[in-house]
Amino acid sequence: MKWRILVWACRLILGGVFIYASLDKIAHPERFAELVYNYRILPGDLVNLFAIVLPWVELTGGLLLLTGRQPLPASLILTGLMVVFGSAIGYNLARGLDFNCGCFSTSPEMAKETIRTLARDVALLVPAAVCLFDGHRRTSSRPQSASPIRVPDRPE
Amino acid sequence: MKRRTSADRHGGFQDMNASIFRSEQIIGSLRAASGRATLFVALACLAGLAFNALRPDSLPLFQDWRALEAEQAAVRLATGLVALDTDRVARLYTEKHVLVLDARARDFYLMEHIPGALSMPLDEADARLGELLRALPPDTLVITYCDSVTCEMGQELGRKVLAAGHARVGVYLEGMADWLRRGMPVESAG
Repeated sequence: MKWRILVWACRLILGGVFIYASLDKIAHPERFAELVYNYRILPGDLVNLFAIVLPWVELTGGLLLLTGRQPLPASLILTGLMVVFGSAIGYNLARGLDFNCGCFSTSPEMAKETIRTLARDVALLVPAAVCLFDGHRRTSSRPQSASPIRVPDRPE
Repeated sequence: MKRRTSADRHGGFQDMNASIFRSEQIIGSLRAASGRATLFVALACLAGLAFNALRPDSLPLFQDWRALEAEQAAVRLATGLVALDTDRVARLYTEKHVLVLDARARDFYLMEHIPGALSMPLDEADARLGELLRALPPDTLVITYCDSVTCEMGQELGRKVLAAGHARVGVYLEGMADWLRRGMPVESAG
């Protein structure tokens, strides 16, 4: 019972964060594209394409996780996104770039990024790990039609 | 010492088989989930592209951001400031009559900066710039820079140098990001 509550809390936090984060980016793709460009990681030509599709991947992952329809694929998507975001933020902090992460808002008035942004991203990996583990448990506990390896019974 | 019986050996074999089964089960479920995750990502990308196509103010899918930003930054330059690109700064920064000023926060300057550059964060410029410029020969070219074309601290510092009465001021628009990208030498301190 406690495990179910923990899993639900993690799904609510992770799914909610990603859905919330995607909405402002979907509403203002041109501002988000500028933030993506300021990361100085993608080639200039791919910035718009990335800014157009990324918020929809976040929204899809968040919705799938919240509705509980596809917990394991949703957890994989969101964990992958966080690893990508964390790497990009860490890389830019390490090379001293002056940038906004654009994580939750595309507003240019947002504070510049610090190590706290990276810490927040890493902290979100905890609910992601819980969701991944639970997604795997639920997938593997479904009835299997045939097991790939036959385990012989222990003789009495 | 208790001898291992055939039943014990059989039990060990069974445990090993069970752990192999569990590993294969994990890999199998992850593989199936990765396939579904890829499908959902592809569908999400299609939804994003479709939504963008339907927007009245849709973004072009491909756009050369570097050229666009350099153009915009050049337009923003105040009269009297000269825009310098990486090639020109690379030729100039070692010259005797050139002074390079780093407008970024001091922590970033300490991590790495253009060799020979002095740190002049914007918030310290009003207090320190006058004294520094008075000690310079008037024909010295002052080059200011910050991170990239999207940060305006380099231009702002350039304007302050101009306002302080120094005539020869250049702004290195592409800044530290392009300097590093081009593999130019850097210096660190602290």
